[in-house]
Amino acid sequence: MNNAKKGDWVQIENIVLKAGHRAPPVPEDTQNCDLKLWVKGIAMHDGNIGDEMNITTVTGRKASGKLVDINPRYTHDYGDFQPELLKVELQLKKIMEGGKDN
Amino acid sequence: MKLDKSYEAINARKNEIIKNAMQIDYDKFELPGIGFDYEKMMREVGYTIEEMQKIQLDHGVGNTPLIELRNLTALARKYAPDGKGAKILIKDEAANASGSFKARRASIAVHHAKKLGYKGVIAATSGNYGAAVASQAAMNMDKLVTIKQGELFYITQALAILEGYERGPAGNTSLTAAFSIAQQMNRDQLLVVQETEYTSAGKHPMPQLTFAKTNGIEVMFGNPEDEIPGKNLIFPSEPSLIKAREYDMTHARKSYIKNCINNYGITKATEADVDYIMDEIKADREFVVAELEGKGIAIE
Repeated sequence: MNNAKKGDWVQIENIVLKAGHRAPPVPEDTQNCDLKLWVKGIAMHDGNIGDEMNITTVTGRKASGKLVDINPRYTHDYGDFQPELLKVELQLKKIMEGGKDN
Repeated sequence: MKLDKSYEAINARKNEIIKNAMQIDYDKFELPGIGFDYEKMMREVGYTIEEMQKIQLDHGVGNTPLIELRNLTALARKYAPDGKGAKILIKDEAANASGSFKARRASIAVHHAKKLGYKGVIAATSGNYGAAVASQAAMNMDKLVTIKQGELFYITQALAILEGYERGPAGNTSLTAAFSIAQQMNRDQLLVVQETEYTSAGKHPMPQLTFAKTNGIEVMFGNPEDEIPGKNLIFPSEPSLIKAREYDMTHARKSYIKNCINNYGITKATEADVDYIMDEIKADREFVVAELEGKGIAIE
């Protein structure tokens, strides 16, 4: 879905500080990146991904920026299986096996 | 009116922004020179312990369970000398409304904002709270211990496997130190750890290790002493290698004095300044004066 209808739940993107204009104390590799801001809210009008979009957030705040997502979802997960954690589990079980305090 | 939103322009308006947002005029508490009158500030905006307990209890915060970690204590005792190995307990701060001890201060802050008539609150956060706590501890405590990343992951796994509490790893730093410190304490002593926080996708050790490996961090077993932050993460090859290491407070104290000089741009210091620094970092006069003079600051 590339076009948002008025009333859709959307996400916009803004550049707060451009690369080269970042806060002096941040590390050099960070200095070379834009500081971006993402805000979610209700679309105030129709628009396509990449267009300028005006939104109202759940707290009633108005914001505008580039439309980047419609019905944005969370994509984080539990990552890959880590054999090191299994090794720790088996080691602990072996150490603690059968003791009267256990 | 369109305000300049560059970093420099916003930083220049910082005092005004804080004053408007907090309704606290910090200038009132600035002493001449480098000092800051914390006691006066707390008299004006502070709460008693009883008031804070009431606010917290009204909002699902506090009264977290105190849990005896029998298996982790038994594990620690395997590596402790005879008669040593204090009983380890945790205050399960994951039982707070937001899943961590941070709900404690947040509940008070929100209560205060409501009292002042604010319609809402915002929080600027980038995980700097931990850094702030560490630096405050360095200034105010007699002793500060640190642990290694691989040890933290090991104890996080031990808490899940031996006790059934899947927490952290954020929030398990104190527990990791406690595992080592308990081994130096007597068996009839108690060691209460007031930390722990919720775990979730992203926070759990598995995604954190996935993230570390994806970013080129080498994960291995060995002696955590050999760990190099930003390069590798070393799981202890066995639990006896988990050690709380004493942090050099002299380093933190020197750094505090250096920051005082830089932040206030001072070229000379008064006796009141010297007294203030001595109190702040628990250092004697000789140390403070030597550090100041060593940086070209004359004492008046």
